[in-house]
Amino acid sequence: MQAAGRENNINFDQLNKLCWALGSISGCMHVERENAFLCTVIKELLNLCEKSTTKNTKAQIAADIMYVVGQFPSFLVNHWAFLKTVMNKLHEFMHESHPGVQDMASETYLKIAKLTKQMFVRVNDRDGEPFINQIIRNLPQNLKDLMTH
Amino acid sequence: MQITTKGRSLLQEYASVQNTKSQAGFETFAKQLALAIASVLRNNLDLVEELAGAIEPNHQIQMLRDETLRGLTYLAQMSRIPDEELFKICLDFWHFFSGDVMTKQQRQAQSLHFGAMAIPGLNLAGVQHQTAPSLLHAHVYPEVLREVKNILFDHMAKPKEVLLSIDDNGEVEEEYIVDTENIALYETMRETLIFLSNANTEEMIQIVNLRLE
Repeated sequence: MQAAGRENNINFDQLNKLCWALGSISGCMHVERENAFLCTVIKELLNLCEKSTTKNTKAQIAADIMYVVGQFPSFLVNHWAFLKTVMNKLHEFMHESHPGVQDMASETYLKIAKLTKQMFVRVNDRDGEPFINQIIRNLPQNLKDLMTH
Repeated sequence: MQITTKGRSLLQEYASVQNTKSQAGFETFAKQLALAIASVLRNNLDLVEELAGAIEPNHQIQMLRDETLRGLTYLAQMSRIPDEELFKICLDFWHFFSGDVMTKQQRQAQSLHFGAMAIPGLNLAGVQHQTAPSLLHAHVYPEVLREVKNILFDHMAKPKEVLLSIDDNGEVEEEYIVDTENIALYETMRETLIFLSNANTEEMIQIVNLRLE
């Protein structure tokens, strides 16, 4: 991903395939090893997402990130701050008008929410209230760009 | 075989006939060859491993080892030929092969563990001799398995969770139709990758990191 600067040179086909492959091997490493591994991967992906300029590439990387995080619920449960970031990021993607991104964000949202439900009702460190309260408060704002199917 | 391919890989061979009238013929040949190698290895792998692990190798056993490696190499080369049907034949074999490697490795780890438990510090040499990895596992397979991992990373099918696809013009668009065939392919590849990463986690991570860069 040093190629991030030369954006056009990135082979998205390869990046996608790599993400699909590494998302699919969820759960076959030791927990600590998997955590460390996932941290590097996601950090790289987020970096790449920041650096990309066109809608097209952003949407691609967003889809990859969403897929990868959705595949590792145990990691999310152990890293509350990260889970919160992911959820906020998904809210952001729900306003993204690029075709498919909203749908995928909503589906990933549902998937993660189902797999890590206990985290939303618990009071997690400095927040002072369960995250679900925040979600409900911001619900109208977050849903305004979504369409019914 | 060496004579027919004149030392070139099957992939190069494919490139040389691509877009000529021999392409279809070569594809048929490659499929038959893949099926043949895959079924010979699949049915005789246990025997081959046992024989190749003989304590005093003679030149016949050496040859057996070499030929096994050659068969696996040809399969790996053919996996890279852009032909979906051929890829599926090869994938089917890799799925079996990686599962087999993983199972044997785990069985071996277990029996080593038990051996060490039963007679601590005593007669370990004898126990290890029985359960030592076959020579093929130790010397022939790692190279092949590494290549298989790379092949899988290059060909990974799209999981059903990803709703975006790229159309012919390179534009990202939404996908509405569920591609059952693709999902089946994804599942097989996923299982193969899981077998492989169970067999050698460190190398898997190493390859992913390498590719990320």
